[in-house]
Amino acid sequence: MAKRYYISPIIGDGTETNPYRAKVSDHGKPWVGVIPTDETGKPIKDWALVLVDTANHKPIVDDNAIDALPDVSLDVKLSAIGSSERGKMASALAGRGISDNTNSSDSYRVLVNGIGKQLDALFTVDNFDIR
Amino acid sequence: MAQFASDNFNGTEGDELSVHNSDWVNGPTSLGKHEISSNRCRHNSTTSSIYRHATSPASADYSVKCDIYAKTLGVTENAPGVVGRASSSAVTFYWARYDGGSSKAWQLYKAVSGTYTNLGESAQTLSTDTAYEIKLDMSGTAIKLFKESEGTAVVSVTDSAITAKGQAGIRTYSAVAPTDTTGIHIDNWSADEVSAAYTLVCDSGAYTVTGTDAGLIKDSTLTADSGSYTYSGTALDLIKGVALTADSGSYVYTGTIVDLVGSGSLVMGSGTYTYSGTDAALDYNVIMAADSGTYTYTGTAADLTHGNSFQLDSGSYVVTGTAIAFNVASVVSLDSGIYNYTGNSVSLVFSGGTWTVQPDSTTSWAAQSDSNATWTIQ
Repeated sequence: MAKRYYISPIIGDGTETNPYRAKVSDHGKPWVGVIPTDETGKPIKDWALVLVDTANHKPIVDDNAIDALPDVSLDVKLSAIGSSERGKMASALAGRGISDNTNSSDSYRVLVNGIGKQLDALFTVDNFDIR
Repeated sequence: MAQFASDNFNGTEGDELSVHNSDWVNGPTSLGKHEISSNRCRHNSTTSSIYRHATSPASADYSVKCDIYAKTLGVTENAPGVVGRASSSAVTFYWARYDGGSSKAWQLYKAVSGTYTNLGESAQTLSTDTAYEIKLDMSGTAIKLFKESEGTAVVSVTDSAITAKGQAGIRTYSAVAPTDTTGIHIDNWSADEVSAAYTLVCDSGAYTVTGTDAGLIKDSTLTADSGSYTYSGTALDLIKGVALTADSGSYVYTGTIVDLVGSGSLVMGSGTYTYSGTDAALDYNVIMAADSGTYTYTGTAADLTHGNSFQLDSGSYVVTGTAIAFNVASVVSLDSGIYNYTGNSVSLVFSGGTWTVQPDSTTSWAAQSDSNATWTIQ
């Protein structure tokens, strides 16, 4: 099993039998998502930061509705990620209106924390896990 | 861990749950029923049910657990579990459950004003006639689902939607009514306060902690209406993942290798925060919001606000040191007030406002590029 971060659309209608959830749930793998909601329970964004734990990420990576973030350790410097991968990530984030205030000397952890904090100011990657 | 409510469901066969124990309150809205079955508890309705235990927790930080016991598993089975921070008037709660239907998965839900969100899930097919513990743990905005008494959560997530302490209870979704020999039953329910060792609440007075290698309040909450917190020592990991809220009073931290507020949030109504030390990673990925008051940082190799958001309505920030990377990739919002930085090798990236930059020696200004800012170089 290996874990990887994704940006996933949110699906569902908020009913008990069709709750709001990250679209990665369609793939049937263990997942957790940051899905902040307003006072009515409706998600405040149409996307979620998601962590998926599976030995085979290919079906999710191949899902065009879901953006896979780089498959690297949180401690890796962004400068160590290949330019193609970084460009793909930047494009995916920009396409969803997600700010990226990192620089190349930052670690991947800073990037993931920054994305999470755009959903919940108290988000920390240290308390974001699935198994 | 102080237990504040429990029920082992040993009782008269067939008794509705609130008849079995009047501490159980059915609803709101989900008014399906539970009954005693072979000294366990089972759903007996085709509509969802929630029961809240009348004993209120002392705070919003507590855990709720029970054993689930599958008599049968199938595509139409029920989804029982435990709830916390459950409202007495609205369909609002966190819910750790096992879906014995199509998913066969541990799931962490929240319901806010009757709208449901699945925050995460992990599949596992249970064995029948076997007890599995499920636990919902809530500490601040850290919401977790544990199973089978394991030390590591199955699902861990940050969620700020439900902060009121509410009540603990049980809840079951079901489209079919389980019987004594079908569905998933519940046993050995209990609710426990988070250990007092991890929660400091100060109405007045002072907390003083002195020592080394202190991991004092990690994943905890400190709330001070008034008074002071003082920490002295080395290798402090004081408030990582913690929200500090001060209406008034002072926080004073002294030491080295300080990782004070990593991944936390500091909100200050008024008062003073003072940090002293070296190799400080004080506010890494932290949001600091000050209505008024002063933040003072002293040290070297400070990486103070990297990746952070600083918001200052009024008041002052005072930072002294060398090799300071202040606001790299950060957001600085200044309505009024003063930022005062003294040092060299400073990289400043500001937007808007009026800034006075005062180098104390040879200085390289890597970035002073904002047409909206007014700069005074001294």
